[in-house]
Amino acid sequence: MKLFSRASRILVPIRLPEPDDLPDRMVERLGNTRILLVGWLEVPEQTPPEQAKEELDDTGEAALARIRERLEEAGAEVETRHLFTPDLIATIQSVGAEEACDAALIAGPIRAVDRVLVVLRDEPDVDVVARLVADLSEDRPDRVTLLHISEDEADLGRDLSDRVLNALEQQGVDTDRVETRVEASDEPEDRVVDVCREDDVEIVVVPEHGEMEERLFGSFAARLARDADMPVLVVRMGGSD
Amino acid sequence: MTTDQPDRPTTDPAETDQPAPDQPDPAGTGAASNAAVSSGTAGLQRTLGLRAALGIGMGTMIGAGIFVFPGLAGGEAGPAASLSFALGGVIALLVALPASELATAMPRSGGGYVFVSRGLGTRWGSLVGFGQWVGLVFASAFYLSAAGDYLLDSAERLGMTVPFEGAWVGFTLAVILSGISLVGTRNTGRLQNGILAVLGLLLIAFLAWAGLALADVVPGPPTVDQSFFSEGGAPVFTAAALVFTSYLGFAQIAAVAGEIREPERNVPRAMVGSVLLVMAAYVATMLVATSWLSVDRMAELGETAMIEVARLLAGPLGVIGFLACGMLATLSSANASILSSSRSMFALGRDGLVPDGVGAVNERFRTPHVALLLAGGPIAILTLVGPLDVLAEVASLLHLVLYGLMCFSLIAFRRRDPETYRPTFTCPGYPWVPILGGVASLSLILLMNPLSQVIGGAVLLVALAWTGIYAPDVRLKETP
Repeated sequence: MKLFSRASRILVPIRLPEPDDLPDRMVERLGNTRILLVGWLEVPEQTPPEQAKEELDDTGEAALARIRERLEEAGAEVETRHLFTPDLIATIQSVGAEEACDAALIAGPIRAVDRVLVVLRDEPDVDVVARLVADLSEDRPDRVTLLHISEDEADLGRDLSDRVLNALEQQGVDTDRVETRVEASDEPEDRVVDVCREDDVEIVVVPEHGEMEERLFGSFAARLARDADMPVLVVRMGGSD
Repeated sequence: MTTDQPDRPTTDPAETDQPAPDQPDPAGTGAASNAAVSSGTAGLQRTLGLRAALGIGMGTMIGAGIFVFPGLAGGEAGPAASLSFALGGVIALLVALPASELATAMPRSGGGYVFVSRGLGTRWGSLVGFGQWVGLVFASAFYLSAAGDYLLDSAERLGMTVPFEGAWVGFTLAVILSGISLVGTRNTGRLQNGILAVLGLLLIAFLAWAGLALADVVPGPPTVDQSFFSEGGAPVFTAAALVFTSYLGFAQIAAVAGEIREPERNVPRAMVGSVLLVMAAYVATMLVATSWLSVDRMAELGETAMIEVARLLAGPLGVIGFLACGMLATLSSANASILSSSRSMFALGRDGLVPDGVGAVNERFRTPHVALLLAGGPIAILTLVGPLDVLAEVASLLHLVLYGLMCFSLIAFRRRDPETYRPTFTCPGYPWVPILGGVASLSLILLMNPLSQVIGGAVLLVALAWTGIYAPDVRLKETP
């Protein structure tokens, strides 16, 4: 077990009162991280968050406690929060920034095992990505794929892949298990979704991207979670808005 | 109020007066406030930026001042009614600055009620708490009645015959709106911002076109020749008392201060900015309206005078455009008022001034259904009963009492300087700004119709009596 202060901090939103299933494999994978478990209850705009808190604070508490227990059994350090909001995205966004979370999880069914796909685009914080992958893959026979798909920026892709590879090595990841793929495609996002589907990926790590409001769940990451239908970890690009 | 205290004491704890009746246990209050802070951060996130905060303020305000009041005020004061709007705006600004300071010190929903009850004590607090609830009920009824009249008038202009009275349209709208809020809505923020953006653009287009027409650059309707003070100076002030309702929205920003990012910057900017922007729009609209409509014609048309202005400028297209905008604007104001009204009820319930059940949240819809019904029910009844100008004036009156007392509670806080009062924004011009704001707010009440004064006074007396009977022993914590 590694020092918690070094572990990645991951925001895991849980919809209350009836949480979606969080598969055992996912729970185990999160065992080396620090988790901010956010139980969120969607309340309408008519209900002030304070009032919701006073009246609905125990809604789904048992369900949240069960998930917390499972995560702690797996070895994760867990903090819980209750959120009452009509606007999950804005709220998660601000919680993630305030609590300095490295990534947020969009849960999804697990379709394959021991394969982590890291989508590279824009300019992610290489160290954060590498630490996240190291935490997720620790003590596991994972194969890690660094995937960069762009229309015509293969050079950038190779450079980025190299930097992530170096950072992974520094995190103690066996680089023999890491492959890098730099591809060109006219429709990069479609192509990423295809790769996820075809290549038996267990979990996708993707940097957040796009406008403030849609960064986390709005744009590509959400599409990936929906279309590829698998767990997606969205890496914060850092810096509050 | 003494004014000779240049600065608030800031360092010496021995100087911190423990205000007598309402704060019996300083240690206890400290613990309570810590609890409030930690639970506050757990449930409440700062998600609103400056634009969103401006939108909340303007969204509530813009409807009445543009679409309803120009005819009513112009019929009373002539072209000088533009000064009435300016005067109302200046008073709103004088209140907005102290309100900003209070909001950054106590960012809790309940807004004005929280400030006054903590600053001046339970009695005054309950007065404005109930006053805020009833005031918003009157305001909402006013917006909805106006929307009803708008709909009917436009329908008649377009050649339709309507077999029922305007009041029933207002009543129906009240029932529908209450029903929607009981079931609960999600993600209407974008819709509201969209509506506000459309309104803003149309308004700018309308004013620009009207300006060009008045400058004879483009053809426009013949102007009416009337002197600026055609009705004399006095009606300027009485009209100001009437149209003050069109500024009621800025304090909504205080009510959501806990959800605004960088409140020390964004709260005052949003409050002052939203007042300035709507003030400019109101004054310009009023000047345009009185250029083309005589005072008599305005008095005759009343709240629907702006539809006539639109018809003169753009024909049936103008009528339809103005109808659509007027409906959207007044409905959005009414909706915002229903929500705020239910929030004042929640704040009263939290402090034990009304039975616990009022704060209940419906299990199925997760909406505060009791508080919403306590807003929606009276609103629906009032739309059937009230003449428009009395509804507006009572709404103004109850809010002016609140605003006046808010200004004085700022002074009380500064003089007492309790540990828990640490605003991040400081009201400039202390003590003159809050004194002027307080005195001006309360003075405006003296200029209203006797009927409005009687109704407003009765509401306040009932509020005092209720608190005396139901909750004579309630002692509020320093910080809620």
